[in-house]
Amino acid sequence: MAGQPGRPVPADEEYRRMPLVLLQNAVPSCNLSYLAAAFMVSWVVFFVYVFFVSRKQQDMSREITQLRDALEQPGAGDGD
Amino acid sequence: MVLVWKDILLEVRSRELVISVLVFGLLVAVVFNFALDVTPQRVTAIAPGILWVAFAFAATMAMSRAFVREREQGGLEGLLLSPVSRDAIFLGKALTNLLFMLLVEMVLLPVFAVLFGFSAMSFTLIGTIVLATLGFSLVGTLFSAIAAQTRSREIMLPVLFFPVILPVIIGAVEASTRAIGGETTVGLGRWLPLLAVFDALFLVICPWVFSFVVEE
Amino acid sequence: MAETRQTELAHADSRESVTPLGPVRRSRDLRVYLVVLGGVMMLADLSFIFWVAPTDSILGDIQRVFYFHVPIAVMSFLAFFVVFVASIVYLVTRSPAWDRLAQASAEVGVVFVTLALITGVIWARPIWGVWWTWEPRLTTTLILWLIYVAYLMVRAYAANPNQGARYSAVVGIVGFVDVPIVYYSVIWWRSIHPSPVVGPLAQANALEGTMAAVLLFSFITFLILFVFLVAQRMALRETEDRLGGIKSAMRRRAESVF
Repeated sequence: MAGQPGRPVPADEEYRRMPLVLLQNAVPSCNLSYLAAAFMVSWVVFFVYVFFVSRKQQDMSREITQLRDALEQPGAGDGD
Repeated sequence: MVLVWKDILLEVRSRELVISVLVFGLLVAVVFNFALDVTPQRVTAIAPGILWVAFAFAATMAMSRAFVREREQGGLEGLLLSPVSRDAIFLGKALTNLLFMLLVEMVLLPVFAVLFGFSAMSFTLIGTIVLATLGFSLVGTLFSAIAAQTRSREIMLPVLFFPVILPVIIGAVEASTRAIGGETTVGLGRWLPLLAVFDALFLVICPWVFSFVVEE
Repeated sequence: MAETRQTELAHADSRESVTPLGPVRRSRDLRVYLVVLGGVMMLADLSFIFWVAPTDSILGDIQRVFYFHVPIAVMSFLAFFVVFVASIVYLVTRSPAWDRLAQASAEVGVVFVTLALITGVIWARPIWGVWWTWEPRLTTTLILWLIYVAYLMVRAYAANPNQGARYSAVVGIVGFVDVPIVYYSVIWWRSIHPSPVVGPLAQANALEGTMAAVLLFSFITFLILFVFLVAQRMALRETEDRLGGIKSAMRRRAESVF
């Protein structure tokens, strides 16, 4: 990635040093809460998604069975 | 291309769209002037951004109309029944949108140049505008064909259009920054090819997928 | 009278799957295996992440997010690649199975990419000192999210399912082709607009052997999770289609009676 001539592009060194300064200020316990948050969010989202998909699946399967049952009882479907 | 002429004549004759898009572009200029506080020192940094926000939004406005009119009047069905190939229909529509947008931009650019005080007469700036507008019209025509058929189509076009068009906006803003800043060739070597690659790619893909959009 | 109606509906129902119960039951078995295997591997993966993988000497414990974040992000790219391929095959062959695959993969991909963004933001805060930076990969991920949310919207707002399948296939193709261009344009854009905090730190220290092994295990775990979710979503879509088929058959019946 060649920098644009005439524009100051900070040296690579500067990029590398900056986050370290920030890290030294960071409290380790604070780090752990971020870690916990990341894992919790992932798990919650996955479970919620699976839950909704499965529930919808169940609802629809039930509807299909109901329709089938309604059709299997002679006379029940003749009302229409 | 008779189709292109028909559409352009319709647009110009009705004048409604041209005027509303132009007024919209001016409004963007005025609003952004206050929102970003454009001073002569910062004009090179800010003006291209405003210019392309105005152009991109004007493009969505113009293109959202392209297929809605056909749909309302059943023109598209007639077109599809005629022996014209799907590719030709798409390219005709895209060309119409391209010419229409270029017309709008030809009016807006000098106005922007006067309002913000930069020089519009730069060959590279014109080249950037043509390439970027071609990208807008290719992607925009395809997505407006999709959006016209869906519910809540006013929302669908921008939602589809802006994420895909992002590279064009980045490239166009960067290239115009160089052009307005007076660097004629430096820095353009990267952005104009980016726009060209985008255009070439979508020039191939869009007509192909368009045939699946309009089949019924 | 009632009998002909019944057979007609049964026919409408079974048109999708020729042997009504066989494939369904088999796919359900497969999904049960997948979820059990995935669950066990996920627990193993978690224990590896916390007890086997060494604490990063520079970044500390927060680096462990990495073992979740990277596989999730890669799986979302994989998901959108699947959408791309399935969309092309669907447009060419018009087999509904490919459309189901494309839809399932897109939806699961959006879930993954959302998680990749969230975990990325959580990672960025302690490491880079900001919640968000317009770094090429983050930005591209955000654009991916926008494109595939639009994909799902097109499908949801289409006039009918057939139209939704075609339109979203088009969006799936155009969107995927666009991704590399977005990525490179943002990289080039970044090289001109440096922001104060940038994190080449993750690339700066190479992965140690154990870390790489745990990461690999994580990848496999998330791949299984991904396959399970897609299979689950496809099964749902199959049920939706069957229900739709039955309902439209009933509607046709009702219309022909009057």
